[in-house]
Amino acid sequence: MKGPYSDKVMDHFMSPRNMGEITDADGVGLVGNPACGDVMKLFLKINDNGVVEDVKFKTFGCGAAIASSSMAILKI
Amino acid sequence: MIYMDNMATTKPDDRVVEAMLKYLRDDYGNPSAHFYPLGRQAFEAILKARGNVATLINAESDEIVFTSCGTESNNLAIKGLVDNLIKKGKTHIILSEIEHYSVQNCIIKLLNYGFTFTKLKVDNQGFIDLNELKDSIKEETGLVTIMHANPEIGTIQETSKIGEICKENNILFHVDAVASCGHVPIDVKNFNCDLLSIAAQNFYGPKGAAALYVRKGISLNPLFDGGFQERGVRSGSENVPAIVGMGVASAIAKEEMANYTERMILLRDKLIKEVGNQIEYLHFTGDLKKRLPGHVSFWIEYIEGESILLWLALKDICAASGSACSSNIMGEDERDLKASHVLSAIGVPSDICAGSINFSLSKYNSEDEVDYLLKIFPELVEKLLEMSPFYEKRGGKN
Repeated sequence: MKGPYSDKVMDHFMSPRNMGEITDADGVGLVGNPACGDVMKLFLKINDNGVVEDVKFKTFGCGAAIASSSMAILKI
Repeated sequence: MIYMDNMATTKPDDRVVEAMLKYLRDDYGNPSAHFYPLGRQAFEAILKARGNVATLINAESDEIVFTSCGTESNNLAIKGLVDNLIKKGKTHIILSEIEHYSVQNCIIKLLNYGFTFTKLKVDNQGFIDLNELKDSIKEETGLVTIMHANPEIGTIQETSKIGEICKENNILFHVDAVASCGHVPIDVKNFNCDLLSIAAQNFYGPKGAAALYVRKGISLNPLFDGGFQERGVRSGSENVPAIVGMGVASAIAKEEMANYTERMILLRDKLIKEVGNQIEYLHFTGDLKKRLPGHVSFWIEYIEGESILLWLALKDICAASGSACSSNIMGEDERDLKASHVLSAIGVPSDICAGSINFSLSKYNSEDEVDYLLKIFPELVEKLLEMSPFYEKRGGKN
């Protein structure tokens, strides 16, 4: 039986890539609507040469929000 | 699979399905054609079902009108009164904030016909204030419609007292008892009500059969015109198999109510007690005692409803949420994560991020299933908490 989402979305939902936070991040971004919408927090670690060395995220939201956060991270 | 979404629908009892099959396979006659045995059997089957449904709610057989679903019963109750109320100049209606959409949207429709309404607030447990009801009654108030139990938060209103106030003030009283019928005793005389909606699928009966109790002496306009079925109040060939199923479900509910309710309360209270101990950021909704027997509802801070439902589904557990995209009424294209009108009404803050969950148990659930849920649920919540940008472990950094 198929759920509401594709296998790929469910895979990212169940095991989100790079989920977590970077405590000494060089950049932190928060997007979304705090009044109960989807919210994603993104942490970036950037070295002296301007290269992104590490990236992590945390997301509040439905399955699609969690999975798309995880997929977007892989683009960085 | 563990099914704990019985407010959405229940699994029909085997005895119900068995009884229905006869009217699908063999006794397929139209009850209006009662001059030959095939039609007469169908006619008599409906008669018997009507009796069983009436007995379940302490009404008379000729006070039962069969419809297709709870929504239709609510529509018939409210829209069916329009001419009657307009004629008497009684065009003010009182409802509560937590009524089902089929009640709320009916009343919004009636604004086009010159009606006005007052929506009563509910307290944090979901109860209306009887004094506020009294204060809201005007000269032109003709109808009060307040549900018996709320399917989302489980709270059971003091329906008899509401009915008394209506009776004293000579106002018609409609009760949406779709969520409670078959689970707790319903007595239309004790409720002092004039109209009451119930649906078979909510108490181990089939989809496609529901009923409206219409107290003797009240005349309703039909929602659509046709023949003389259901004394012309609800025209159209009767859904005989489903009505038969509803009759059997009603007889079973009446017969087994006491033991059933007691067992459901035991399972419910175990779940409430243990899930409350296990999960730190959990807030129960509705009254913890005056609530539906198998109903457990709460919201959890920092995590969202749909992701909880998805994880439960992955663990083979079916539940519901009042604050998930999937349960929003706006339709496929206008989903949002806002709390439902019921959760907002009982004061669940809508400006913080949280998710609500309802487990509604049935007679098919075992204690082992409740134990399994209690075993996996905290882990699943922990997993989502760790993913939430709003959550910081207690004692952790801010």
